[in-house]
Amino acid sequence: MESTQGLPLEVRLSAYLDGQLPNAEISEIDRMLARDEQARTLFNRLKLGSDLGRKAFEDMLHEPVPLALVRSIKQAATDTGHEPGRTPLAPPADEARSYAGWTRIAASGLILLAVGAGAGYLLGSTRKPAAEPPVLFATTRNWLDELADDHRMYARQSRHLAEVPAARSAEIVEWLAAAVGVEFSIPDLSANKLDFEGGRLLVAGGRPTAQLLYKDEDGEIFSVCLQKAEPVPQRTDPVDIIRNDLGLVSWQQGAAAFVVIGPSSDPALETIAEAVGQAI
Amino acid sequence: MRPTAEASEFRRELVGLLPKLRRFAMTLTRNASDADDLVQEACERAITRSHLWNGEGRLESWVYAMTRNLWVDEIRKRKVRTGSGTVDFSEQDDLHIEASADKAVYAKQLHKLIMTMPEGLSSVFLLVNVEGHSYREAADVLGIPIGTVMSRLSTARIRLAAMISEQTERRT
Repeated sequence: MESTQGLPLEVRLSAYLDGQLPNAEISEIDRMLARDEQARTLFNRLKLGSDLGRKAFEDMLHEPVPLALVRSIKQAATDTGHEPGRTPLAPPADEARSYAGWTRIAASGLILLAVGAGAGYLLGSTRKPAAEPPVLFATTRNWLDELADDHRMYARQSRHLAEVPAARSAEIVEWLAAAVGVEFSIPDLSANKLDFEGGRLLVAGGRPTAQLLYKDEDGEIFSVCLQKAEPVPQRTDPVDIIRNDLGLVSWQQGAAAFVVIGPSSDPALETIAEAVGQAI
Repeated sequence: MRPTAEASEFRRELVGLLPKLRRFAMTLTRNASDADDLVQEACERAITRSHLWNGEGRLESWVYAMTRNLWVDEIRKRKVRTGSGTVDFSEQDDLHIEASADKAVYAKQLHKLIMTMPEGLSSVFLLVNVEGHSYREAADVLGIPIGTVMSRLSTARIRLAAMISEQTERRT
């Protein structure tokens, strides 16, 4: 503790308020407050200012965090070993006050590259002739978009989250494997702090799709979706995309296409996708 | 490159800290756009240097110090580039809280009040009064002597109390 002897009274009282005075000075201030009304008034003003400011700062914590900021952290991690790119979070109001403006241009290029890479993956995952890319692109995009919409809707149905509950896991596997045409087992994601809640049968991109639903300790819902696809010799690299509040990590493996869906603010989606890929 | 489990955990912690990092950055930049850019850059730097984080103390203190250093650099660049840094608080809008304000407007005015406090005052106030850092920790994060932390803190409290006193007087 720093001595405050000789410092202005408001500084000493402020330190007293924070409990950052040496013991000898605490008793000195105690005595002062007991006998000196001016000191008491000043102390009460300091306390009032503390309470007001604390309230204002606590309110600031409830402001929503921009998704672009969350995304930038996830992307920065995948760029480990390289100079990280920056994603523009807001257009500069004034070029002269723009914060490192050139990096925004570079970031725009990265975004276009990411979109292109995502589209490339989506095109590849359909295994259709290259002569029809526009149609295939639209169809595959719809598959992910439809699943994002389904996930968003069912995640809010707290009492009817799953069509068949987790207690009937064997039935879920038998039913969905037959409906989708893909053999699978239900991944145990307890190491990722996710509890299996049950399953649903959906239609996405015109194909039957199995949806396995999980819940984390905060009540956030995660989906593992799969549908039949043409076989690939080895697992494809995961592609990470964001649809508003949701993050989707998709890949192909064996004769199926997979996607893990969860809150876009969760940086562990890729880790979960990795676990699913190994366990399913 | 796929992140390791350790790197994923580090990112998860950073994401969890984002509300606090943005709040701290706001005390430096005093506008949301610059604050978000600053937090983004600080997080990127923290990730590339995560191997230097020894796990002792608070992770946010480590990132706060990084954030503050980046901001000092940015201010220096702006001064060179345009001859100006941030807008001085004395040039900004009136700080008074309206007595007739409803709850939402009142909260907004409180927020504005915080944002219009001089940078040095609001950062110290946040670290010590709101987040419970010791004077030593706050001094380390901000790169200032403990004595400066103490004097800025008392000044911030008195300024804030003056605002609420004015409000009370207007209501009576």
